[in-house]
This record gives sequence, C-alpha cells and structure tokens, in this order.
Amino acid sequence: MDRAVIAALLLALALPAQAQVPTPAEAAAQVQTIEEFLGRGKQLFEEQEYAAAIQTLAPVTRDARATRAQRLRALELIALSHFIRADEGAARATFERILDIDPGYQLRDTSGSPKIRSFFDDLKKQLIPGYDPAAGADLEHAAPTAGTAGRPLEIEVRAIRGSERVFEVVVGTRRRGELAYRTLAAGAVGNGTWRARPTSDPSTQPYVLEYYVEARDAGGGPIARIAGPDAPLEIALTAGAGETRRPWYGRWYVIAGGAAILAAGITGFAIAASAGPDPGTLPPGSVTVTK
Amino acid sequence: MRWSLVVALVGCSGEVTLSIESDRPIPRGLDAICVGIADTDLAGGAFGRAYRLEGALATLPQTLRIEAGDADAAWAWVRGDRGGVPVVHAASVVDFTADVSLGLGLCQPGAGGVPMAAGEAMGPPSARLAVSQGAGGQLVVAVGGAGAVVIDVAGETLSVADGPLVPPGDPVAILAADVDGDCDDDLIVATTSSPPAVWRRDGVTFTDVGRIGDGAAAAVAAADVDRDGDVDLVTGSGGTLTLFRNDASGAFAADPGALGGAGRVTAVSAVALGDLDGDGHPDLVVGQAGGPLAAWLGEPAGTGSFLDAEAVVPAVMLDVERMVLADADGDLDPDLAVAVRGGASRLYIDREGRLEDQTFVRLPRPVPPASAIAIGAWDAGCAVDGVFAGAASTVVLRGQDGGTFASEASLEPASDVVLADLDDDGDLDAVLATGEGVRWIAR
Repeated sequence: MDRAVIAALLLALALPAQAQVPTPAEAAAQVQTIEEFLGRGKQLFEEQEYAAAIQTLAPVTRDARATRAQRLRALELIALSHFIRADEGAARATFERILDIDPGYQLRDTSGSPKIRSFFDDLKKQLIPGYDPAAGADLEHAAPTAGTAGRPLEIEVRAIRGSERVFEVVVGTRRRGELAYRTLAAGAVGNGTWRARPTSDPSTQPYVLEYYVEARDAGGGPIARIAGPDAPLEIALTAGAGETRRPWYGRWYVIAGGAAILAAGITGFAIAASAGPDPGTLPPGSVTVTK
Repeated sequence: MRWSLVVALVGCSGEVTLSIESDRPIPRGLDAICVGIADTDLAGGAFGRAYRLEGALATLPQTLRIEAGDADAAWAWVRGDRGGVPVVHAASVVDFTADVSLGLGLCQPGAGGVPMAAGEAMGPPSARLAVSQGAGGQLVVAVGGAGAVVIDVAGETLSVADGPLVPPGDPVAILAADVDGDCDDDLIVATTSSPPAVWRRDGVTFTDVGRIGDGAAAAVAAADVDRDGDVDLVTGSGGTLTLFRNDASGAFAADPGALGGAGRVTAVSAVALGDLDGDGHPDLVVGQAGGPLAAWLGEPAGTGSFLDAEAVVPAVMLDVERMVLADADGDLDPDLAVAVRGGASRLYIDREGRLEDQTFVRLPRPVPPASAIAIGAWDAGCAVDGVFAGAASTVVLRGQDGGTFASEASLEPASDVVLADLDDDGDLDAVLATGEGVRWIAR
C-alpha cells in the first residue's frame, strides 16, 4: 500500500470521529425511550398484567442502547413474570441470563416471596461454583454524602453477620456517566471492620461519584453487597484540583519510551504486513476472491 | 488511534487466513467439510470446495489464505459433514482486516434470553420451509400454495424476495442440499403433481434448473450415499423408494437396483438419511402414513446401495407427517424425531445403530404433538433444543445435560419450523410457518 494511502489513513485517524456519536439531546432522548419501556413494564407488572409486561420489556433486553443496569432491571421483571405465570423454564432461562451478566446479582424483588427467593438461590447454587445462600454476610457502612474532587474519601464497612466468611472488601467507584468502575481493596482494621480511601479525579466542575461496596470470599466471589454496580450509591463532589502530582503518563520518560515502542511496533507491523500470511493447508492454499 | 493504525497496516496486504476449527473427533464426529468463499458483491467471484478429512487433512484446524483481489469484503462459510450428511455449519464476513476463524465445535451455543417474535409475519401462509447457506448468509425459503419467497433479515425486520415459480401441485417437501458442489445449499422442491424440482442457488437467488425423475414424490432426502463427494437423493412415494445418483454436475440419474421399497413400504410420507451405525455411510429411515417405520443401512463397501435392516427401528404403526435425523443427546450419532399426525411426537435415540423409543424418558409430559420438528442449539447452553411446531401451539423444549428436554416456552401455532441464523449474527433463530405467513423468532 503506497505512502499516500498510509498518510491519508493517519490523517483520517487523527480526526475526531464525530459522525456516529449522538448529540447529548439525542442520547438523552434514547435513554428516555428505554426508561419509558421500563416504566411501562413495571407498571404492567404491578397491575399483574404479566404477559403484557414480558412483551413490553423484552425489547429492552435486546436494545444495544440500553445500559447494563436497564437490561438487568428488565430481565428481573421478565423472570419474575414468567415465574408467577408458572413458566419455570422461561423463568430459569431469564434468571440465568441475569447471572451471566452479573454472577453476584441480588434480586431487587420487594415482595419478599420465599418461593421466588428459593428458586433464585437454587439456580445460583447450580450455576455459581461454591455459592451457598446461608454462607453470605450482612454489611453496613459509613460514607460521606459530599466531598471535594481530587481529595480522598473515607468509607468504613462493617460486617454485622458472617464476618468470618469475608476475605476482602472492595469499593467500586466511578464518575456518573462512565461505564467502568475502579475497584479499591479496603484495608482490614480488625473487629470485622474495613476502611477504604478512594481518591476521586480532580475536576474543575462538580460531579457525582457513584460507588458500591462488595464483600468477597477467599475465591474472589461476591457474598454480600451494599448497593451494586447497577444501582450504586452517590456522593456529590465539588470542584477541586486535587494533589499537584503529575500523573504517571505525563512524565517525560514515559512519553519518550512510549514513542520509541510505538515506532518500533509500527515498523515491525509494516514489515510483517507487507509479507502477508503463508498459504493455507487446504488446497489450493490460497484463494483470490475477485480477479 | 494507536491501535487503529496498527490494524490499518495489517490490512494493507489484503490477505487473511481463514481457519476451520473443531473439537469434534475425526472421523467419528466429522469426516468432511465444504468451504465456500464469495465476494459480498454478488457479481464478484466465488470459491467452493469439499474436502474429506483424511490423510494429510485428517485433523483440524485447517487453513486457507484468502486474497481480496478487488473485493472489499467476502462471505466465508463452512459445512461439516458426518457420514455423508451435514451436521454443523458456520459462517462469517471477512473484511480483510483480521484473520477469520470458523468453529464447528461440539458446543454451538445460541443467544440467551426469551424467544420472542421479531417483526411482522411475511410470505405465504402455512408454507414449507428450508434453510439455505451460502454467499449472502443464511436464507430461509418458504414454499406455499401462493408461491415461493426467499427470506432474509434487513435491519431488524424480514425482507422477502420472490423465488422461482413453484412446480404444479401442492408443496409437500422442500429440502436444502448442495447439488452442484459449490458448498452453498440449493433446494429440492417436491409437490403433489410434478417431479421434484432442483433450484440452484447463486448468491441470494434461486433458479429452477430442472426436474428429478418422472413422477411426483411425497418425500425427499439428500446425502452423499456413495461418498464420491457429491450429494445424491432418495425420493419416496407410495410403495416406491428411488435413489438418484448425482453425476457431480448436479444432474441426477435413477439407480433402480440400489434401493427397493417393495414389500416393506406402501405409503411413504417421510424419508431421512443419516449415519446411524457410524460406518461412514448414510442409512435410511422411512416413515409412512399409517404404516410402520422402516430402515435400510448403507452398504458397508460404500457403493451407495442400501440393505434391508428390519432391526434398526421399531416397526411401530405411525401416521408420520415429518421426520428429522439430528443428534439430540450429544453423542455425535443422529437420533430420530418424528412428527406424528394427530398424536404425540416420538424421539428415538440411536444406540449403536439401533433406534430406541425414548420419548417418555427424554421429553416432558405431555409430549407435544407437532407437524414439524427442528433440533438445534438455540439457547445459550451447549445441549441442543427442540422446537415442535403444531396446530395448537409451537412448543420450545430446552435441552438439558443428560439429553433430556424441559419445556421452555410456547409460541403461536405453526405448520413448519426451521432453525437458521437468519440475521447472520452467529446465533440460531427460529423461523415458523404460521397461518399469517413466515415469522422470525429471536432470542
């Protein structure tokens, strides 16, 4: 491929990809539509229109625009609807899908139905190695309701039941609007108590920090939570500059080293790409799609 | 930006490696593959070739280098055969930016979630359905009294294009088979008043290229009975069974001495081919409208003839509407699912070449009645599932470890059902022939 084409590719890659990103208004409208489906589905569920609830919520589970939390909400209502309609096969399949997404998922069902709880716990026992519903733990915590961006926060967690089963406690945090959580292991301070000091990113604008707390067993499996990745708690942060340390990626030796590695890598790939793959093992070895 | 640059440089050569992979034992689980490659511009070139997995090709993975030429992208697909009969398929689009792997593994999980109808019903009502794989992905062809249509998915809805003219008479069977050896699935269409028609696939269209034999057939099945690399056909009607051998070009000639139904069948309504005894040659099961099931074993020397085999299947009197041979219990040999007219369906499990009735062991109570049955891995698990299309409802059974099935869902009534990756997303969907038309059911 000649240099002009390579240069054009590099130029194209340097331009911000604007065409496919929705505007904030469009994104908000899309979320609104999914929330409308969820709201309508929940209303139908509460009105005991279970078949209609399933039909209304099913598109949410397949919609690529739906967040993980929205899908989980829809799937739980669908699974409960199937269970109430005595379609255990479909309920099981849907609960399994929930656990595929989040093995630590805890039902938000407020009915308190022991049958539902038992069905779900039995399924977790079958699907999640080592899961034992009697072997969980109960947690409580203390955390600030407000803070300053860029400064550490202190979150204290106490296991009021089952502390002997808790191997570690982690705190997951993310800025509202982000998808991925950062997790930070809390330090044990004894007496069934753990303490974490997550530091939020500095910002010139206020923002909301979302968080949840998870207790894990020795195998790393979740055994108890406060809130959850799909339904986190919030701390309102005011603007703050944070500490004045230069981040690691801004240090001159990191930039110089990265550029050197990139240059070497590009050269290597260019050499490899020009050679092409070897002929295959199936005769005739190589096929040209069009001449 | 950094990773995009690397990918751009890799793609500059316009050559990628296609890898065919599988954990199925060879030859017990897989003994041949057919690899097809075609330009996504259907006016471009195409390649198709069958390979016996023996000698230097006795193991997988095997690879093929694909050069783009003038193509922007290509379809790549593979069919895995066992004993002369297709057992697994895989396909992918090749965009020449990365190597492509097509998996024919033992576990072919589908999507999770609840089966739900997607979009409106389209095409002729109460049609006969067949799945065809080739350039352009998997298609479903629906043949009804009102005509034939070719069904695909565009966006999130069905798209329908006209198919060839249906031969005179009411459609009784439609079968997908690669008759011309280019690795895409052509069609055989049988009606009540005409010899079976051969519709050859080219891209996403089908062309009527001729008739097979002189008389109408009530049932038709396809397999490479003589293992010469091309697909042969068995037709049945009344008390007659006929083997038509393929001359490798897609032309068929009857071989009257190879198979005879005289004295064993009188009212053929369904035929199915599969390697029941694991000797590498297809065997034949025949269902009748009110007569006993009957079986023939492929001649061990591989001539393509069939030998009477009364002990293979219980001689139970059934009014058979449709049959399918497919591996229902995960042990690699084909089992027999029978749609019984006016009665509960039957499931016969292949035990070392003999079909045992295990209906009440493996299927839930009440056993669903059906006009047609499809078996395949539809949900997120590895065990195959079953879809039983019936006049009262379509029952979805979920396969479980151990080879049993449990009720999962109930869908609208249908006269036919196939499992096909209609939207080419790598997961099977169900396609039902309902009274309102063809409906796409996705998870």
